[in-house]
Amino acid sequence: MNQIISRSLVGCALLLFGFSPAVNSPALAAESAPEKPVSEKPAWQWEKTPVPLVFEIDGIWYEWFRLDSARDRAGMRKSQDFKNLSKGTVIVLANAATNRIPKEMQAQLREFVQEGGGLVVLGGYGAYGNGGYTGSPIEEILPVLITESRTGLFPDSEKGARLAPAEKADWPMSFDFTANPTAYYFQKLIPKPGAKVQVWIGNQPAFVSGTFGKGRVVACSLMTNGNPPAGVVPFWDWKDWPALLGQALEWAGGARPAGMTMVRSAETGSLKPLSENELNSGGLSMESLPKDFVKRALLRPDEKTALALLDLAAPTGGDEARCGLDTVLTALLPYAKPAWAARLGTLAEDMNPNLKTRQAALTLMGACSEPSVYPTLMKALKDKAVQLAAMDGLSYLGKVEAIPELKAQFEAALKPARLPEGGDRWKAAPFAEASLPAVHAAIALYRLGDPEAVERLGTLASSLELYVRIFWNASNRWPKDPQGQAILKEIKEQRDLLDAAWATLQSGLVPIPESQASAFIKYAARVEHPVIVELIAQTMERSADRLPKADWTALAKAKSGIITKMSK
Amino acid sequence: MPILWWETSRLTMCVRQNMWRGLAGLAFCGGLSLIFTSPVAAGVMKLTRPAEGSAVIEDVGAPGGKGLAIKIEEKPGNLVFGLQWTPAPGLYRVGLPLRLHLKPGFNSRRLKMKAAFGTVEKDGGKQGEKSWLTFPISPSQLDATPGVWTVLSHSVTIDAVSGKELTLSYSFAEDKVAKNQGKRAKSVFVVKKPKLNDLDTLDESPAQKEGMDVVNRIGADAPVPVESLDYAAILVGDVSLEPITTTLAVEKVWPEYVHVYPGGSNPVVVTVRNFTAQETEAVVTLEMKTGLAESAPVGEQRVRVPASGVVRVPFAWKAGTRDYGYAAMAIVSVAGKPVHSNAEYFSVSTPIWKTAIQGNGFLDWYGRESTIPEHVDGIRRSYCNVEEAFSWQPSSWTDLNPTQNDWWAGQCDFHNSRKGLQDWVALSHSNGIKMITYSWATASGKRGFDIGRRFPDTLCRETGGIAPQIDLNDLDVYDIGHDRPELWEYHSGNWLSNFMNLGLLRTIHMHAEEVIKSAKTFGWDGIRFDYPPSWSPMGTADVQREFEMLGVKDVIKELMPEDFASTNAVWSGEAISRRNVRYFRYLFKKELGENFALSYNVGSLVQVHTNKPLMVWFGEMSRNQGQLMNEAIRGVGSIPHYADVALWHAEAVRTLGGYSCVFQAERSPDGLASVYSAVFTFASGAHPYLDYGWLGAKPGFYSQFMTRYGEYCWDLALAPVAAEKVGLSVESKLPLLWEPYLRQRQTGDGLLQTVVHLISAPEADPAKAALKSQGQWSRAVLVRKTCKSEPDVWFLTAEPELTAIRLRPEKSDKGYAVTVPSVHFWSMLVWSEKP
Repeated sequence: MNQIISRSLVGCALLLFGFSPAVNSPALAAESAPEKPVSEKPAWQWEKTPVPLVFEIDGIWYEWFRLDSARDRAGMRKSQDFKNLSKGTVIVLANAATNRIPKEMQAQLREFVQEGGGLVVLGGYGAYGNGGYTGSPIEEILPVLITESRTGLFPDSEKGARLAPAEKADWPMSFDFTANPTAYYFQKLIPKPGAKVQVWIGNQPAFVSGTFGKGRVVACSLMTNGNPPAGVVPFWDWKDWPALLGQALEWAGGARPAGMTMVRSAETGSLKPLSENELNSGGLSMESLPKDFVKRALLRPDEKTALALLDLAAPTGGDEARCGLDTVLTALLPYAKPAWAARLGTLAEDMNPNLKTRQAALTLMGACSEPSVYPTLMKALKDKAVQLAAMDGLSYLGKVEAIPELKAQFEAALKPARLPEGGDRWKAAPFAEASLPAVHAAIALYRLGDPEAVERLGTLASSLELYVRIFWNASNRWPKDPQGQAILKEIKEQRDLLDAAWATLQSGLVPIPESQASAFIKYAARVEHPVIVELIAQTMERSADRLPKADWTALAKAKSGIITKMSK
Repeated sequence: MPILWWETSRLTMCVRQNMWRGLAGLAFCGGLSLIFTSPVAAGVMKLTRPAEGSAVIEDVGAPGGKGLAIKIEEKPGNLVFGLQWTPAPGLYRVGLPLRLHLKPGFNSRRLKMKAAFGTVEKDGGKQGEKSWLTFPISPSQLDATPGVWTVLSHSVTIDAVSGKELTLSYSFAEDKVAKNQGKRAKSVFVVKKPKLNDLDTLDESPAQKEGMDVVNRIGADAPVPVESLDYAAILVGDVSLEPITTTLAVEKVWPEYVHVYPGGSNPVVVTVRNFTAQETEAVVTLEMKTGLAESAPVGEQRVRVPASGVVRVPFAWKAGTRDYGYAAMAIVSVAGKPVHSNAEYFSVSTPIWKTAIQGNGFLDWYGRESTIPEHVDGIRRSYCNVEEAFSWQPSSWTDLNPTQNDWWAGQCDFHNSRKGLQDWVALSHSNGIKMITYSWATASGKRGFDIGRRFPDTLCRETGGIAPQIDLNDLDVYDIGHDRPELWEYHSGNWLSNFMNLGLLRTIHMHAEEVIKSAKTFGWDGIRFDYPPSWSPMGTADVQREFEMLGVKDVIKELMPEDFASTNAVWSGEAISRRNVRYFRYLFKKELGENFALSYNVGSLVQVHTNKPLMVWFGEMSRNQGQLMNEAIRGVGSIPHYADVALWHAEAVRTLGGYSCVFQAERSPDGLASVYSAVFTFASGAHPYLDYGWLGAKPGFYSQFMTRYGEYCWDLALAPVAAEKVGLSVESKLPLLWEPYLRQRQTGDGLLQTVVHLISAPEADPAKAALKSQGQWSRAVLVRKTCKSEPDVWFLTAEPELTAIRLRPEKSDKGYAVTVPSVHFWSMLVWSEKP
């Protein structure tokens, strides 16, 4: 059982590193095909994603549109991976002026919609005429005419105007308009022929839907400006606003083709997976194999490759290793066997001067599921140099006896960072220093089935996400003096630690271990923090096919939005 | 060896007081000679010679004809001399003779010096030095006249027998390049354990033996003529020691406030110290001096001063309507005979701009709260009477009323706290220092943008809307971080802001409301508009609609009689700008009182008085005694140009009824930029903004001097006159600048007063100016003036210390003449006569 979990765990870890297990899919075949000439623009190809992704370009006051909630209602996740627009379903411009959108992206945006993607444009001083849309590709896509030039005045209403559904609206309008959702500032938009007003604000269009090419576009004229007196419900505070905006997102994304699964990896680029012939030839001598053998072998994750790589990295009979065990670790993990343990034991010894190999050996030893390695891993826990690898090894080994010690390690790591206030408040620099060991320990506890593990990880995740933002912001400083530079260097180093910890946490959550399914569902049912909601959705998305027996009913009842959709 | 150290804190206090020149200034104050000779004989502290790198020189100008030459090394140096000195308790004046022996082209600007008098304590095998008088020395304090020595004079209190081991130490560091900054000076010459010679047989303590040993060794050297030195050197003469009093001393005179408005109270506490071992009965008299020779008794109190102790004597005093500088002068008398006196200075005015010496309120560092007492202490010691809290507010225009305990200033993201701000204002006010709030026409930071979202019309728009490229992540993080001290040091310092639409009266009204509420909460005494509220034309219909909307139609009608009924389609930019200034002024004076001061930054490098539209605009802001700041001047490189700009600005503003305020020439490469910035700021009639380095080594105590005698530079009635017209001439061997600064006024008692500024001309050649950090002092300057009756002529100067001397006029051809004994960088004559 443990071994099965281990394999599924490490398999999903590969996903996070950008390796799709669907290596034999048509998409892979397409990537393996001879490259087309550079001058020829490749046809737009939609990429299949488990849940629809929304790309957002935000301007000032974007947060008042409550896009997090709207996305959640629409069952969509946010992505900032603008290099891969083909993964997206909808693009949202939230009061975003064209000077926030590079020209190439404006052209891509047009192509995105042309090919079936959705676009939702939200109003504001950075949108439409004032945002510089006039004359840009965005103007062409829009279902409305931009009547106000960028220097024009926006019509406003001192008493505000109310939202109301259009008589001919073809969107479902199950919203409570009797609450009199009010807007104070809006932009005057004139629907183009064929466009349809779905919602009015006073006598002006508030939501206009239309199409462009194969895609759908929604233009919203509402601005989140104004100072409503007591008793007035501004539209952004209206309880049904996220649902209305969510509906706009859903509608806009409705024409987006399903797409196909693709293999992507920034690291592998145009590398081709190792062929069967290559694997069988050359007697596994590095000298006689292609230059990128290891990298390409990693694109072919199967047992045969794993064994071949193990022989290269940990040869028997006193031969010299021909590649680093750490470089092939991810390819070996799913196929580790008890029989490997002894072979790895030598590499894991304190005497081994190659720290990276030692660390990889310890991790892999745990994945071998050989109970006899337990003392070695427990001993390694005390050694700072290999502590994290030992934690990983223990997490794969699955011996619950390790739980008390791992808890102690978790507490010890965070002790220097603790503030009396608790919660997500930590001494910043010590927290950054503690983040990696804390995450490794927390993930190990999670995999070992510790009942408090999910809660612990959730709390840690919310702190980590915050501190990552704080440290990234701080590392944007440009001090000129040497002392300031030294401080900046330190901040950047700590930021990198936090980044690594966050990435480890994200990957370590996947897949949800069977032993944690119940705790995970309970936790997911009550979580509110948008970033954690995204994290949970992401984890569920990646675990879906690995927890077929999990009963998500409770979660579906308790939660709405994307988590509910995932649970179905 | 506990000699003086147990009295450290008191000594420190004395040294501080000394730095203010409280003692020095009374010598001539009000025309009275108030140095009382003590029966204790004056002493000379013989210098011992350092081990090497120096020479004994003979120089006719040196005290005693001899001195030591210290070679200026191309590295930081430290030099320790031995001294032999056993003074009785008392107040002393220490004189340090110095001269620089430099070769042409030597960059003396790089030379920074410090003198430190200290005790040497031996604790077991360890030896430690502790200073009891330390002062920095700048080359600009020394006369550059060939062969002339300058005696730097400082007073110090010794209230117990000091023992027999004192060390005089000098540190000289040539600040060659910035790379040396921050490194501790290494010892180049150190005499710690000189050999004992046959004087050992004398019945002296080891300490005395050490000193005498070295003295003997110096004596053994054959002096060389100073001209023979082929290297740059600092020449040091024997230190003189002059007792001021060894019985009773007025140790401190302390007016509670450095500035009060007319009619305000300013209690004064006089501290008298008894150096003798017997309790002494004495009389303490306080009088208040102002103008040149105006004096009014405050009170007289009989006190018993305990043996070797102090007594503090309080006096009540309330200002009348007479404004400008005051000296609170205390005299202690025993048996009817004055023993010692001392004085301290403050000013009286409204608005504060009339006597303003502005401090540096850029407290923009983390944890500044702990430094506020020290900061305010420094401001007071600098005689700064007003300070601007720069960019403290969450949003410079839209939020001056933070609701949190901690927040980030919208501009520059400075960390601020309610407690810190309240402490700063309260402590400043307890010293009479007025606090000005900063204003910049943007909604800034998280708070500013939140308000901007609610009232978007008050914000300006640009291509891309409002703040189209603002760093949204910064704004998000702002909210997360500002209540969390553990994250403060990770707060990134971006200025997130959007300009306000000052064409709308509601934008003006919004800011006024913020300022008024803030002033009532924090106690602001004024405001400085870093961006004066000027704007472009606006449609008349919209303008008038706003009057109705805000319910201020009648107010505007009264404030803007020339524009209110305009039938033009638009209100001109001038009218909108005028409306803004007047409306602000109206609301501030109405809500915060007449003393509330207004300042505007109107940086300009041109001759404003020739630019009519600018003069009209400046006139609007100057009206009702506004201050007009010229920030542009800070970038001027040439000192002669700086002098021109300062004078143009000050004179233009004066004619408009306002007060001029300038920066020092911060970016000037001139070696004397700091000195001349002070001289030309004051001589032109302007007021300084930020710290010109008042507490550093300067040739004079300018801020103290201006606190007392600023009237003769700042009075708006002092109008320029042509020398020829008033029949005034100046004869000096060295070039002096005086004609552009010649001014006259009629005094209240019917006298015609002519103020003559005598300024050593700055170096015009930039290349030479960059290397120059010393001035050559003029001597025996003859000033003649056509005059029918004998005038009353006062010589006033801040150099080297506050001095006011009544000169004796001699009959000349068509009038009278006076001889000014010496002019360092800047001195003044105030020539009063019957018209």
